[in-house]
Amino acid sequence: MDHGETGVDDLNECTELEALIGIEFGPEYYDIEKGMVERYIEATGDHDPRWKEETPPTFTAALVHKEIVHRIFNADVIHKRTLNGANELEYADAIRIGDRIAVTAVVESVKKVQGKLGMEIFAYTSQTYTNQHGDIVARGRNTYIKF
Amino acid sequence: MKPEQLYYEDIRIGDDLHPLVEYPTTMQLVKFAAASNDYYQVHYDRGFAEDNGLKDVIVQGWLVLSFIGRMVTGWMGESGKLVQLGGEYRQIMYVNEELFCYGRVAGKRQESGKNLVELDAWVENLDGIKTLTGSATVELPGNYSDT
Repeated sequence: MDHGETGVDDLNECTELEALIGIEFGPEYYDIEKGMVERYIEATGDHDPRWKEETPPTFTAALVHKEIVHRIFNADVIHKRTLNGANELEYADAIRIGDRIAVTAVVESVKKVQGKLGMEIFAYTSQTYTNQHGDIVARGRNTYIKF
Repeated sequence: MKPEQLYYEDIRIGDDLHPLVEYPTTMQLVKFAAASNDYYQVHYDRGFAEDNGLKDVIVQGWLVLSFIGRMVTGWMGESGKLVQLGGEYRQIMYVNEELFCYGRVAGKRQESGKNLVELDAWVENLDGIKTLTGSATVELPGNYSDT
């Protein structure tokens, strides 16, 4: 890797990511349309009839908080590769076709880990999904690994 | 065939869910990229994947978690409710390789009037290596309560 391409040349440097901790990003809005859900069902192969009115379990993967993902993927750290390390969802209510979902996100913490590929940076985020009635329908947690 | 409805009283710790075998193809990865608004090239551009030290394009973690979601919601029956679903991606999963999805009842509890069943869930590759470890919690109806 050409270290000259970035101002960061320290494997332990992740100031730009750490500076995001605790800031709430969003909301970003998604209108839940039938076609969107049908494409998700087609992609995952989950044709359970109950998904004709409500969305399947991991559908919030499609409700990406674009800004926070952009910030993590493009952070000025020496590790330019980013992978999804983990996802978790807790459901309070179904997300239904016709809903308008507001997504907010927070970087909860950043951790440096000596992993299999050398020094890795783990960024932990939380997401909140709120419908048009102001009800929180789901909460999520993601782990991004930069290596 | 419609799966039968499970009731809380009938569940035993150690019960196994019916396993699921998936074989993600490049087409499925492309469909999921579009459905999930995730256009990271590592999931569909083999040259990009190889430039990043991978032997081929890799399966989205969310897609594999959706397989677990399908297994669990198929098991719990129409009157079941998914309360929590999560997974950690332990190993790269490459396109065109079988993924074996498993689930097992790890615990059950009644809380705030709800019948909750906790599941361990995991995915193994052809070499028997766990590529995803995770969990799910479902709420089931009781045999003698209204559903």
